[in-house]
Amino acid sequence: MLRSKATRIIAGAIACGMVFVCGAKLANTCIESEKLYDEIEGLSAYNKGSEMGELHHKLLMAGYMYVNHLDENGNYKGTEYAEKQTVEILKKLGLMNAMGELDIDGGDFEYRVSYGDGEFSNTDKSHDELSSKYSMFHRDGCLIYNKYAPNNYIYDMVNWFTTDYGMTYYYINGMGYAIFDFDTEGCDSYVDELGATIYYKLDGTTPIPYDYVDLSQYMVTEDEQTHSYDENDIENYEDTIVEVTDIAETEHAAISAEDAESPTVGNDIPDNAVSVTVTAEESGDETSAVVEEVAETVTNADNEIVTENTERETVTEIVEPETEPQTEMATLPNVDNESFTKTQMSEADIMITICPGDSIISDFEKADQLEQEADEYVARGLVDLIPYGVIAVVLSLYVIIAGGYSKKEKKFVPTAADRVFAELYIGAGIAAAIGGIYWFDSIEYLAEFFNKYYPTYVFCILVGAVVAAVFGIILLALNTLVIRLKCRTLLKTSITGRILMLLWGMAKKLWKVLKKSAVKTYKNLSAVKADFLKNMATREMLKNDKFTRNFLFRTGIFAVLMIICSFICCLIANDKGIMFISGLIFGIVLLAGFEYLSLGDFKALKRMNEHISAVKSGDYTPRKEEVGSPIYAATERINEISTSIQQTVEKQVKSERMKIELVTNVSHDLKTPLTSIISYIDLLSDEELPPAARDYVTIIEEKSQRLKTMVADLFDLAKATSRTDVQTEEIDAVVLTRQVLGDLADKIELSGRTLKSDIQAESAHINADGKKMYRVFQNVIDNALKYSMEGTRVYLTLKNENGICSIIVKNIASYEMTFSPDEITERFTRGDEARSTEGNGLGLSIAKSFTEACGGSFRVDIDGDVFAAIIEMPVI
Amino acid sequence: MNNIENSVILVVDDDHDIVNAISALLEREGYSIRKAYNGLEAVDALMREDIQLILIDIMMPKMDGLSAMMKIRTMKNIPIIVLSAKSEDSDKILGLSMGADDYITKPYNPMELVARVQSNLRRYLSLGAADSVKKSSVLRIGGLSLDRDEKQIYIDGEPVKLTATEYKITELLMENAGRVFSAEEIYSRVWNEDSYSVENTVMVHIRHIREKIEINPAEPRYLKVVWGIGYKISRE
Repeated sequence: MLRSKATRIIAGAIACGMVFVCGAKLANTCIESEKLYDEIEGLSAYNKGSEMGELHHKLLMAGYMYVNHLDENGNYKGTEYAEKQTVEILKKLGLMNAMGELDIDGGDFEYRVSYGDGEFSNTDKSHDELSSKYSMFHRDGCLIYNKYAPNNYIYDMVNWFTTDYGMTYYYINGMGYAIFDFDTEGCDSYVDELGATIYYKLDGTTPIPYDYVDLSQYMVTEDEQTHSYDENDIENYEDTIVEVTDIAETEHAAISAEDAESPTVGNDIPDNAVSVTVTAEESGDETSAVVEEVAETVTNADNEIVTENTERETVTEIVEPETEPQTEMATLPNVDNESFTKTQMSEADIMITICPGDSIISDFEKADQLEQEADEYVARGLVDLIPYGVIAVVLSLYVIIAGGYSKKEKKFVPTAADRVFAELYIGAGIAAAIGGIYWFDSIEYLAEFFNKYYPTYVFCILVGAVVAAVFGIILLALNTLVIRLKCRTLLKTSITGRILMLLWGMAKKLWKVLKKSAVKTYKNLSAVKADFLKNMATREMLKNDKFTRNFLFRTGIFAVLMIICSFICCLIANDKGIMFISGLIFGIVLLAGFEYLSLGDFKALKRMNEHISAVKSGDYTPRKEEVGSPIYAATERINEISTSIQQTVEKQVKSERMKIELVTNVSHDLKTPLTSIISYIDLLSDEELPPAARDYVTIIEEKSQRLKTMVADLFDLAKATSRTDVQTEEIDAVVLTRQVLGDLADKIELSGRTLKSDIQAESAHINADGKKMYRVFQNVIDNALKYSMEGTRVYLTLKNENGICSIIVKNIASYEMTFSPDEITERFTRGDEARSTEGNGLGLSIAKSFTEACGGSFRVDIDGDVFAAIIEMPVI
Repeated sequence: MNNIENSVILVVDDDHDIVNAISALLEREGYSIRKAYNGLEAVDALMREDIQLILIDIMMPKMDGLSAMMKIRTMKNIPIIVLSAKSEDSDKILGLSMGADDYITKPYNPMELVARVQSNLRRYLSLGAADSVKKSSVLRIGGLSLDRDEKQIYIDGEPVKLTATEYKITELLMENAGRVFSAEEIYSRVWNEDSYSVENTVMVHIRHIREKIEINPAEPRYLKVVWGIGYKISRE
């Protein structure tokens, strides 16, 4: 039962059903758990996270800029200029109140921030006391926080560095802030691209900013290729800049232009917000260009831990002015910008702890609990699916393993569906899988949509159906693929497989050919070597074979020309098109030349062919070839052969003629005495003789008659064999046969045998000598009558088939035929060895000779007692 | 006028035995025989004596048969029968065209020889007179003549008995001497019926006619079978 197809189909269906249930249940679980999660999101604790994040950010800024510079007693450690600027910035950022004290509202949270000796808090609790399950910690540059906390919080880049000439630069939330240790009163300044006002002194105690140098340079060159914020501005207000001569004025103009034209920057950095002081005492000989090196801040996207791995490093960037100072630059002080260094500060030293206050901690706890419940619900839902999944998997495995088994044939048999290209199934499976994945991608929206208009179960059923469908398609595809593997038809029934098989077959063939040719070449080589060593035959052959020589010579010339042409192509061509065209032209010309030369060879071959054909058809006239022709030697040889053939033929003809002459003479010489004998016997028979003598005379008369016939036959035979005296004309074998039958009618009747003729053709035109053919028929029928058994019938059949007219005369022999068909047509062979009957044994020989002289064939068939003479003539 | 029985026949052959044998054969029939052993002697004898028929061999010393024949033909109009061992068609044609009236190959059948001699003599002696009485109703080919009025056929002046059909066939062939008729044509014209596979019928009749009008039916002088094509009576 397990092996039947029906079981498999049912199992597959059940598996699909299981998957359907799984999908539906899963969808249900998701929808239900989603509701729980929605509830969590509704809790206030859930939203407190962003507040926490913001607070952390504020604390971080305060920590870097202010707490860092506090001593144990909470007094600012730096210069008054620095403190003043810091306070200004902090006020602007809203971290400090009008009193110049840090004022950060913790809201529902308690916090503590400490950096070095400095410390700031809104509570008395220490860092350890603030540590709870829901607290946020900033330790050693790492941020650890409660899972609900930073839901909407983007941990911005906070970064800072100090310089050895008194500038501390902060980079917070994409904005730059510069704080200077020295008095910036009267110092030149510019606003960098992050909005920080940078002051500098031209006495060499601070580096001359990059932009300063650039500025004067751009005033002259007006180079448009610039990315600098200021430069762009200056470009735009070129007219203003060109008019001013004082560098300071230019700078002012630039700044004002910037203020006016860059609202984004201008808004962020009001002029009065950044006070700039220039300290004289800190001026030194060296000028340094400070290049901002923003440390890479790695922000982990993980919702729980953000690691900011910034190491303390000291970077000294060397920046050289790109061009020589211009005429105006003659006033620039000699400042060695390279001698200034900057120190990248790390945030690892800062320590921040934020703890939710007692008032909201219960909220957090509730959210936590809810989430646990939701998770548990989901887990339970998933566990519930396991039995269904297991059943589906087991059934699927059964379907796949047992798939394709035929009870009838007791083996795995591919069905029609398994002969369709496998790629179709694979494609369908992959498409279903991808489609399913895409579909699940947007399931949230679908769920939302469906749940809006229909009850939940509708969506569940939909999901289940889709999952089941995808599963079913994949199962089907896998099933057919496995069946193919089982039946070893996968390669045959897939396009890829076929291509692979084709390639493999080709490779195999190629390998075979290569192997064969390699072996052959090896053998040939050894053979050639042996030959060469033996008698230098190869060289001799090459010497005589003009074709090979021509070919090799031409190929060589061709190759050399090809190389030369390639060089010329390369020389004259400066682009690929010309190279291609010139190469093509050269190629065509060379090929045409090669072909033209080869054509001569082929023509020579054709002439040779014609010559051979002529010789074959009997034209022995010798032909002439030029000495240089490749077929000269061959033609000479053919001439020799044809001459010798001609001589042989002539000789043969001559000898035939002589033979005929001899036979004629002999027969004449035989005939003369025979004439006398016959004449005198005739006279003697008229005489009065005693009875005994009369008997003798009768015998002599009989024998002399036979001798007469024999001599005549011999003569005829000799003539027929030499094929002279044959006058062929178009005659009708059917007419001839009937004539002969009519002519011999009396004789047949006399013999006591019946002749049954079966003439199966209307007509059969043959080229033959009528008299000779009459003789043939006569002899054959005579023979049949003479040697057939008393009272039997002689059968004559005439057929005209396949261009051959065959006349078959059959009879049943009156004696045992112990001779072979060949022997009987030999001269003087007689079937009955006793020679009891009349005849001289020449009849069939004459028939054979005459038939052959007329261009036909004569043979004898012996089958038991049936003797058959078969005459075959080609029909025209 | 010379009687056939009293005719003088000249036998010419270099073989004495053959001359003697032929002489004996013909003397038995009542002819007078003169003998010669070569062409010269033959011509000599002819000049000296009154001879009605010559039997002459071809291959002879001093003067061969053909030369002698040419010489004889300049003097006399008597029948000449060639008697030769040369049995090929070309020899026969040559002999006949050189002035021979008949050609007998050796070894001959004595009866045939006698018959031919008689036939030739008869034609020469008796039919020569008939020549003057030229009837328009008489067809003549060599020794074969057909009288339409009498519905009678003569061989060398001797009437031959033919059946009506045989006569009609002979008449048809003689009227169109030299033309070859197929069996079908003969049948449809003689029997006035459509023909089908009549070769046998016609052939049997032809054979019968031949047996009646030919001295040697195996070597017909007049009615010839063109094997594989048809039948004809050749114009001499």
